[in-house]
Formats: sequence, C-alpha cells, structure tokens
Amino acid sequence: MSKLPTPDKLIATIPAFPMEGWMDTKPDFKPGTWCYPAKVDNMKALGMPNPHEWSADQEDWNLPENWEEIIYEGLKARLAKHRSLKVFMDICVRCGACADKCHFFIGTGDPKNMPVLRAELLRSVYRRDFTTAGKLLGKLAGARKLDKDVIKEWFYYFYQCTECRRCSLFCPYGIDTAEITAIARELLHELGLGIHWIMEPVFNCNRTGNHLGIQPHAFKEIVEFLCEDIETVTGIKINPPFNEKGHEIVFITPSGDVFADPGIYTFMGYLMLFHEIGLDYTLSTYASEGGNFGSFTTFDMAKKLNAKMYAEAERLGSKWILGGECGHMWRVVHQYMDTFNGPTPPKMEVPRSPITGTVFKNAASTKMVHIAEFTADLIKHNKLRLDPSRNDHLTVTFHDSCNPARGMGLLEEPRYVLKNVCNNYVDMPENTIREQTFCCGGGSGLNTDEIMEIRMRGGLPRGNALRYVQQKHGVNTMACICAIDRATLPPLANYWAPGVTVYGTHELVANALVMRGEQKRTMDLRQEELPGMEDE
Amino acid sequence: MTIRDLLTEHKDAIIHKWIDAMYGTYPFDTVGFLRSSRDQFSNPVGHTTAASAVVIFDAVAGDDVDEARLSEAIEDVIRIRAIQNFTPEQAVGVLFVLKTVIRQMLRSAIVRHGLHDGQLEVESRIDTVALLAFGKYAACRERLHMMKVDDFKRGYAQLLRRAERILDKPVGEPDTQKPIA
Repeated sequence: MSKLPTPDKLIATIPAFPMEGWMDTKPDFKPGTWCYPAKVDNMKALGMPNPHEWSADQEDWNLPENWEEIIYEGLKARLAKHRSLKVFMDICVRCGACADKCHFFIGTGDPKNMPVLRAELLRSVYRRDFTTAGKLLGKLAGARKLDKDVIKEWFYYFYQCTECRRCSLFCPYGIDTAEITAIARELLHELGLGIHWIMEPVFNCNRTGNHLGIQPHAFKEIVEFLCEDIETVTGIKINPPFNEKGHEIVFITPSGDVFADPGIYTFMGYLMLFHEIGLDYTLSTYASEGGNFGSFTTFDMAKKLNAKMYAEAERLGSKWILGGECGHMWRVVHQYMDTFNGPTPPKMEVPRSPITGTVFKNAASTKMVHIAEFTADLIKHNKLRLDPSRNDHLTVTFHDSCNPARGMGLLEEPRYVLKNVCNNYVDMPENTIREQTFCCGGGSGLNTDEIMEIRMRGGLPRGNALRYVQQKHGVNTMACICAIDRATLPPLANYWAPGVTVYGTHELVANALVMRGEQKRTMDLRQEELPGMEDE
Repeated sequence: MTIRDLLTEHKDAIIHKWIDAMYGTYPFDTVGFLRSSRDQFSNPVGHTTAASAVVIFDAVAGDDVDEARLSEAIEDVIRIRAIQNFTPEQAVGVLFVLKTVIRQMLRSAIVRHGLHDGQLEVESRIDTVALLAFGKYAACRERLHMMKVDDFKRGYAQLLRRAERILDKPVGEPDTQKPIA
C-alpha cells in the first residue's frame, strides 16, 4: 500500500541533476527504439564475420568469446587504413559547434545524440588503447574501459545517426561524423551485429541485383505494368529496352522506384522523358539497383555492390551511366566509386548529352550523371515542351536529400527543374535547406518501420520546417530526388504536416511534359484528375 | 481583484516557470539548449513548447479562446512528446504541472483575496486542456501505428499488384471460399 503520487512526481523522468556521468548512463532498449537483428543465414551467405543469433532487448548478445580482441584489432586496422579516422579521433577540441546541429539530437533531446558525444563513444575507447594520455590517465583523459555495455551503446547510437553529415558542415575541423559512424558500424559487424533492414537488401542485391530480390522476369513485368499506366494517362505506348547491348547509355535507378509507391510515378516520369527525347538507353535487370546498402555496412561491401554498375556498363557496351533520383547512391558514386572500382572500363566515355551536346565534365572520372543535372540541361537548352499549369494545383517545396546536397553539391539543378515544371514553388527556411538541409530521419538504412518512433524524432526538424511553409504558404507538395526520401517522407509528412504529399521530381516533370502524339491529359501519373483539365 | 487579474499580473513569471518545468523533463545536458536557442527551426522543441505555453495559459486564465488555435497549440506540444522518450503520463502530464506552478506562485494572493472559487475554475480548465491533450496523444499514437502499416503497403505496392494479377483476385483473400454452414 502506498499513497498515490502527485502528477509532478508521475512525470518526473529524471533528477534535476544527473546522478552519474555520461560514461555510466546506459541506453534503454525499449521497443520501437532499436532495429531488428540481421538474419544469420544472410550474414553467413555474405561471408560476414561471426554470424549469430542475438537481439538488442536481451541481456546477453552472444558476442564471440574474444570480442574485446576483435574490437581492438578491428580499430587498429582501421586506424592504419583510414588516416582520416585517426585525425577525426585526435583532432576534436569539443567546441560543441556540432552539438545542436543533429536532427536526432534536436528531435530526441538525448545528449548522446550530439555528434560530439556520439563520436566520443568511440573516441573514449580509442583513447584508452591508442593514446599515451589515455593509457596513463584513464578516465581523466576521457578514456574508458571497453565493456559489453559500450558495445550496446554503440549499437544504440550509431544506429541513430543517419550519416547525413549536417554536423560536419559546422565542424571547424571538418570532422566527417558519417565516416565515424560508418566505421563504428563496421566494428559492430566484426562482432556479428548488423540489422535486418540493411542486411536483407545487401543479401538480395548481392544475389539478385536489387533490394527486394526481384528476379529479371518479374522486374521486367512490373516495369511493363508501369508502361500500361503511362499509356492510360498519355495514350502513348512505351517499350523500354532491357539488357540490350550497344545502347549509348545504361540507366540505373534505385529499385524502390520500380516497386514502391510513390517512387513508381517517378520511374514512369523517367520513361516518359526518355521516350520523348528519343534517348538511346537501356535498362538493366542485373544492375537493377542504384541504392547501395553496402555503404551502410562496410566499405568492402559498398565496393562490391557498386562494382556491378561498371560491370554492367561494360557488358552492355554503354558509353556512360545515367543515374536516377537517389540519395546515398550518389554519395557512393561521387565520393567513393572512383576509388572503389575505378578507373572505368576503357570503352566508357566522358558523358555527353546526345540531345544538347553538353559534356558533363564533372562526371569525367565516374562517367555517371545525375538525372537532375541531365534534365536541367535539357530544359536550359529548351529541348522539352512543358506545360507547368498542369501542376498548378500544387504548391511545391523541395527537400534537399542529404547526400546529393552535402555529398555532391546538387543544389540548384533540382530547383531549376522544379521551377520550370511548376508555377508555384516555395523554399523552406534557409537554415533547413541546401547544405543545411535536415535529414528525413531514415537515411543510412534506418527507414524501417519497427523504429517509426525514432524516425519521427529524427524527422522532427524537417517536419517542423515543412509545417511552417504549409501554414505560411499553403505548401501541399514536397518534391525530392531520393528513393529513401520517397519512402520516409510520406509518413514524416503524415505525422508532422498532414496534407502534404510527397513527389519525386521527375513525376512532376512528366506531369508537365507535353509529349508528341499524347492524348489530352486529364489525369496526373497517379491517375488522379488534373483540376481544370477534366474530360468534357 | 479576480483570479484572471491575478494571473494576468503574474503571466510572464508563471509561464516561465511552467516552461522550465516542461524543459526539465528532458535530460540535464539538453535543457540549456532548449532554453537558450531561439531559432524556431534550430530548436523546434523549445520554440514549440514556449509558443504553445502562452496560448494554453491564456485559455486557462479564462480569456475567450479561439478553440482552433488552442487545439493546435496543444497538438503541437503533444505531437512532439508523443514520439519522444516519455511514458504517456510524462507526455501529457506536463499540462497538470501548470496547476502546481499556479498554486506555488499565487497561493498567498489567492488566500488574501479570497479567490478560491476562481482557482477551482482555473484548475477545471486545466483539466479540460489535459483531456484534449489525452485525445491528441491517443490520435498521434494511432497514427504512428497506421504509418507502419502504410509503410509496408507502399514498399511492396507493385509486388502486390503483380501477385493480384497472377492470382486474379485481391491479395489477402482466402484461396477457397469457406462453405456456408
């Protein structure tokens, strides 16, 4: 028997002053805060180290017996391999410039989501084993003993970082926290700790070529469904080539554009655009995935999955690769592909638009062009007939995906495209877009539904900015150029700014695209009536 | 002197203390940020909490309220707290803390001016706000679960369509019709 607590007592979550330091506070693995573990079979098939059964909510994670040695050797090897890691470990002066820039910190209010402190989770272990001060002075020098709780803490927080690199933008030393997270995840993988949502797509990609493991005949069939839909809307029948040799371009996009709503409408947009300009291209059912969940696993896995792009371009004899709307795919292409798998096959050429003659010198080494650049160039050269009034019922804003924005500086091209295909365009506030864009909350393989709560926390700053333009300017449409965004932004908008619909940029392009021989457009690609253009 | 006069007189101090109590539900190392960062996009939690507190306070004080505006203010706070690391009590319960703050700050003045009836009315209005917040909390959680289902459906949209074509019927229907007993 006891007296009922007062409301004040009932809501008292934490003491006014913490009873223990950050090193001694442990994460609480509540349901909804952690991702499900990878399947042992998938890990075995991929040759990942120490595959085993475990679950984050269990006390014992069944770590291999020599787990401490594995981490020590793993960290040692990575410090030797990545000079950047050693610099990042040593150079941080804990100025705190990054602290309040992370969408997860802003949304969760958890201090360990301050990038400086998240990195400190790894740095503290580094100091103990690899610095003299840490070895001698221990905790006084910010070092700590590695125990199993530290591993759990790594798992908890390095899977609450979407590798978006917003914090890096504000770091006076340019510490790339995304790479710290990537390496911490590699270390967890050394112990057999990976998540299902990443490793299943990696397994499927490795085996079949795309995230869902869709085989070529089904892939082709599904694309044909989309062509039927295009015919319904435009009256034009498109027969895209599959795996055909000798075309100038191979087009590679995230498979989410083929299988998932609303990405499919973006895919239809690509097909319509290519048809209209008479592009000499082929699709590939082998390189049927632009995304690279390997990049959320290990650098080696990223390299392996990325290799198929060049392999397929070479096999098909294509001169260059045109890439669809994707986020992390472009980080891999822009920052890693050349190092991973370059130089390109000898017959590939510096991309040159066959329609405008523009040479994409920025892609001289990778031979791969982002479709937003490609389409912006078409519009700039007046090669497309556009009727933006078909999108007049939409007031559009643009979500800069972290990777194309911060990872490759693709800021103006999508805006240029959107402003040409939509009459009503409004940007979100300045400190939430372009280089300073806020993450969708689900990047780096965290777009799984079991952590929807965590995603909404991470998506709070983006949602907040979206709601602002919704209320102030009547924005009802958020365009993006990323397949993960097309998966994560609909629930984000549904929660934080209900009434805003998410579109891929090329869906809006295709809605406005006036095609030769098309029937009168009365529907958009979603087969919803276009206001003011209904059938008479 | 009415309770409303008294509340109006102490409005800023009460709101300040209440907001501090709401910030106090976050970890110690985060409170400084919530309190000090003024930008509504850099610090949406702090900004929303503070902005909503003013609207809710005015309603509780007995001003005529724009119900839509009040509803939105409550929803803005609860929508955030419903997905953060709080129990349902912690998420919604911060509204009751306003009672405690008012009692602590105005007790002697209420006694001095004999405003107990007015205080009860104020506290009833806080109960109303808390009930509205309870509804919003439930709606947020429900939406969260629906979003998981929708996420799945969107992710497999074209595969389901293909399956339906192969089976020639909507996915999810049983293979054979159950015999009618």
